[in-house]
Amino acid sequence: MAVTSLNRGMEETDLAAIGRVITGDRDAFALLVERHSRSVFRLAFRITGSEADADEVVQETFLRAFRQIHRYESRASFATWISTIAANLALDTLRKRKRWVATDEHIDKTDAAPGPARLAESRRIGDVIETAMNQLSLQERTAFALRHYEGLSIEAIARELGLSENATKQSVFRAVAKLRRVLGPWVGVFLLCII
Amino acid sequence: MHHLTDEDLVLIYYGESPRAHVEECAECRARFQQLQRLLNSMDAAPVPDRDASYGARIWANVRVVEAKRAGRIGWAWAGAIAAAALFAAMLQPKPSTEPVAMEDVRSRVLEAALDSHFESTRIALTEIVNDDAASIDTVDDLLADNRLFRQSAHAAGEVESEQLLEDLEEVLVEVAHAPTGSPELRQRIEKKGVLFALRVRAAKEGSL
Repeated sequence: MAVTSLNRGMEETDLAAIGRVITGDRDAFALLVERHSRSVFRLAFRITGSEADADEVVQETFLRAFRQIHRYESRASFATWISTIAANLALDTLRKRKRWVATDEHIDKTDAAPGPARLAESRRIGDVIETAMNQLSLQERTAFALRHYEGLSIEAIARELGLSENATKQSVFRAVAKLRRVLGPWVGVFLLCII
Repeated sequence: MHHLTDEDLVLIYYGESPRAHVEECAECRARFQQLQRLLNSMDAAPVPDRDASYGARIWANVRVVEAKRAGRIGWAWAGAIAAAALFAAMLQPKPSTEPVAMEDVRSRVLEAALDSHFESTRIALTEIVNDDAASIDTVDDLLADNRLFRQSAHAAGEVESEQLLEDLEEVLVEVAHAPTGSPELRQRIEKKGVLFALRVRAAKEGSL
């Protein structure tokens, strides 16, 4: 309950800041950047897997949000709105860099899961999870990050990424299936480390 | 007994489907717990953090870019692009069914503006390297323009230009803050090799 009311309080002050920006107090946007930039960075990093790319995505996200603040609709929280801008920009960054060139179909038809020998080389949790995330297509990676880390509903992700709900669901399902394939043997080890 | 699919379990995990069946069915509950362990483990991935001043730095950059966009540069570039579009239209020998390639026009104008910026910077840095008493009044403007060009080059995927602009930015920041006639500054400019890179570029473009 405390968290919910804290979130609600934050959304109210976000709305107040947005109102001030729209009515001409441009510096009120600083409050929104202060409040959300670090979480946007974490999301951008989870999608791009690169600190430098994530920093650029954060910069561009807030620039775009500042320019388009009049388009913000309060049906979604500012945090959700800014997260979806960041997710789309992170996707664009990856497409431009052609880091992920495989399509969903291609990945599905090939056995992309690395063998035990390769996994054994990267015992660090971060490396293994990154290895698993790299098996996902761009769409799967973004949909999964928004669903898992940002807590957006399938419906919201579909709307924001311009996909059908079914396509979004399938992206999340395929992402989980691929993660399971790679991470399955490591889950117990991770839990020991977390504890 | 009917059992849930893997997809059903994913939807339950994310709270998008009711979990009543999982409570009642031991087999599905065991599979659900496995999935829970898997997805909970995703939160163990270390994510680098940014310090408390991160937001302030981002906001400062947004302000600089926006101020420039709304001010001098915005108007100058809008004028230059409009003039070039007009010029390009005048060069058309006859009405064409092809749409005017505004992107090409824009690209040529930006390229010309970038060349002019490199030339101004080359002249300013050459003065500093050659003259102990040289004081460059325009360094702040060069620096501000350089940042904008770097962002444009980045957005356009012009890797080579972006790299040169990045190197120039480092040098221009130092020039902006160093005392006039500092021998260390001259050494650093020479060591960085930006003047050489600018000369090579100018020679390639035929402006030297």
